[in-house]
Amino acid sequence: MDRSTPAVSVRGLSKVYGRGLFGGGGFRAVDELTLEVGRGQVFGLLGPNGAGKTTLVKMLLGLARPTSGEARLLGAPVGDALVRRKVGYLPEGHRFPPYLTGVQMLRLFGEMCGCERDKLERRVPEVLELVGMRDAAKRKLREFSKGMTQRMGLAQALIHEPELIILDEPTDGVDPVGRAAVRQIVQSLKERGVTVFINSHLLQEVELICDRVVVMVKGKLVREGAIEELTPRNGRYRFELASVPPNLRVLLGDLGAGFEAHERGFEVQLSDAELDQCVDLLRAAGVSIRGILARRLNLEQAFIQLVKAQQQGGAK
Amino acid sequence: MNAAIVRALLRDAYYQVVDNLGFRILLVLFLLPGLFFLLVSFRTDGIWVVGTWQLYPDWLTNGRTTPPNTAALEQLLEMQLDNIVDNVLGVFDLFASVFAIAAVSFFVPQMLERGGADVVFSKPVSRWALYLSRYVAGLAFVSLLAVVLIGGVVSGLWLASGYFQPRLLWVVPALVYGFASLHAISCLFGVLTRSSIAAILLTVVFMPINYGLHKAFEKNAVEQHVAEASDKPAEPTTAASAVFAVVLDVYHLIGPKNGDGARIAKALRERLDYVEPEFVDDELGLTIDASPEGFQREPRSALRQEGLTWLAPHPAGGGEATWRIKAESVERAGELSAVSKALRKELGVDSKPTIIGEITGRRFEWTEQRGQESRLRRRWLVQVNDELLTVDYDAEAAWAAREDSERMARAFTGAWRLEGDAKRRARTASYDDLFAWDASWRFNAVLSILTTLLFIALMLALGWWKLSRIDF
Repeated sequence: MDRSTPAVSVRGLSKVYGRGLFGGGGFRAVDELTLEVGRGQVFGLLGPNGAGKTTLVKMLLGLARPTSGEARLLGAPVGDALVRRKVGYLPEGHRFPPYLTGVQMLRLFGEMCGCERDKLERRVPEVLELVGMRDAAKRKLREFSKGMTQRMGLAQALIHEPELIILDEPTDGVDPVGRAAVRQIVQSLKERGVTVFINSHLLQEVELICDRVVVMVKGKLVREGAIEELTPRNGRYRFELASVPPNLRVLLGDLGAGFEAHERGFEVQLSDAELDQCVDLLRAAGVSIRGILARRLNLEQAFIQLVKAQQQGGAK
Repeated sequence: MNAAIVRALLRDAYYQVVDNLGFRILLVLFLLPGLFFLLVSFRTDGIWVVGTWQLYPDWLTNGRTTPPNTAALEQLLEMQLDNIVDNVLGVFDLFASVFAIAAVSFFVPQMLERGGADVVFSKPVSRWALYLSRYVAGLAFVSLLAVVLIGGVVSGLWLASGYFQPRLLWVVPALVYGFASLHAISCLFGVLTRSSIAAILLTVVFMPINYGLHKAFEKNAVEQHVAEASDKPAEPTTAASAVFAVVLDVYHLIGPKNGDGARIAKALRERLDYVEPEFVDDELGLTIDASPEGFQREPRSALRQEGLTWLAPHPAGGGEATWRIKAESVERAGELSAVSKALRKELGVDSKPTIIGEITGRRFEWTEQRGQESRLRRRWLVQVNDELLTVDYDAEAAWAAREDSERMARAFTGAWRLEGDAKRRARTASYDDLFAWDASWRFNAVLSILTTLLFIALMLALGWWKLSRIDF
């Protein structure tokens, strides 16, 4: 495995739907997108509805043809059938052949990905165990619930031990226990050096499992970075105290804003200067500080802020 | 694409077929003819149900004539069974095409449905291979049904009626061939519309249109053939009908000739079963496949001189028997009646009507005393335009006493083909008669196969081209 080439590399990629006879007009679903996903990362693709996320994923998998630009997976052009053998994909709203049993489907997709019979003998029970579907694997897929189908979808994406896995809404329809299992599977894939590319609306899930994310709005990449970079500090600090003095609010006076007391201390909005002042006041009163935590926006808040700003910018 | 992928796609096609409710219903229906022939046996002594209840003991002779001997009954039985099987298979041929199309037209649209397509087309298998696998699944569907249908009929007839007819197995490839072009169209409609209902409807609408155009072409082609062969001046045609004839010719060249499946199977069977005939005369359209049983042809004898002669000594020793066929030019139509009348007067015996090949004539039978010797004489008279064909059988009493004498005579003359001269043949020819490996292009079996295969290839290529341009 060549670890130096990125798992996903996109340069100036565009997709325009419904172009006229002479190439004009149409809807630009992806607009001059450039991004790179390193090997072994768990990468999140975020964006509001219609941002072009699914179109990007489909172009990466050869399901849609780019209008312009270039995309490569694991160093090879996306149309290369051999490179697709190293890619696993769980689409959103998938529909698997209803006439197959779980085992038959895994064997079919495994063989389509070039797995030999011996390998499948080993892999089929392994992945069924991994997604918790061992007991139902001999039933026809048409008999499965949505959550069970989603688990089988994950299993078929993993059957051929891919180097890159693209998951489109992987926890859609899965119960909380199942979600935790999916997170665990993603974590174990990461530990094995597999690159995971997740397209999801569930930002809490993304925040929990992704190393890096990009945000797309109207076909363009508007933000890219690690989770910490996308979730800036919001100026609020959480103080943990050894014991909470009864006159705490009086002690701090009118310092900061949005004061909230809690069992072990308090939370307040402070500027940098006010933070020093706050520490000085507490220490001068003999209050022992156990910890100070600078609060950040969660991913959902950051995402909403970002999208709103983009949409307002676009409207102007 | 490696062997594992091909295996996987074929296995997937198989699973898709056997899971299909339409397939399972058709499978049961297609077992019925086999079951029928297993439960109902057709024998010379009647139609039997479950080998126990005898129905219609005189079904072969219909009780109208004196029952012929066993050999003739067996020949009759074979003919009747051929008719029954042809009718049963004819019904199922049409039935299979319509229902199989209805049952498999969703294969391609289902593969292209949102969600399903994303899974399948993201795999490292070309769109062409996936498209082809669905086409093969349809062919597998019909092949399995055809094997069940024909296997059942052949086995049923064999086990219950003792009539083993392996040539019926040719119907299997004929059915699949007929279906292959319709299925290619249905796959194309499936890609173009991505709707199962639309694909079924369009294909079912296409079937009678295609059938009608080919039937019109066949009618035109035969009429043209007859006109050319009869040296008749071409009838004046309107510009519209001339244009229509050209359209039909063009459509015949490019359209799928799925109706030729049965004809090709027949032509192929005939070619494989072909044995050099004993004697052929093109002017009379006379073909004699084999010498009469136990007879040797006189090598120097000639039809239009002293007559074509076969001789045989009696197997137990003693006198000879002779078959002689002679053709003589006659001056007028109706010579047959005059000769028959004269012979009747001379011999004092009545003649009976007879048919040799496709032509009606008269048959005489009498005993002739030659010195001490009594001889059995038979004579057949047939007129073909300005030629009178006389067939003479002259045998010693020892021959006449043989039990199978009549059967041998019937077997020999009954196997002739006498179709008359080229003009008569042309006048009475049907498209089926003219369809042959070496016929002119309108009736040519090789051209039919090649252009149909080309059509299938074109439909598949168009489907693949459209599929390759779809953004899922």
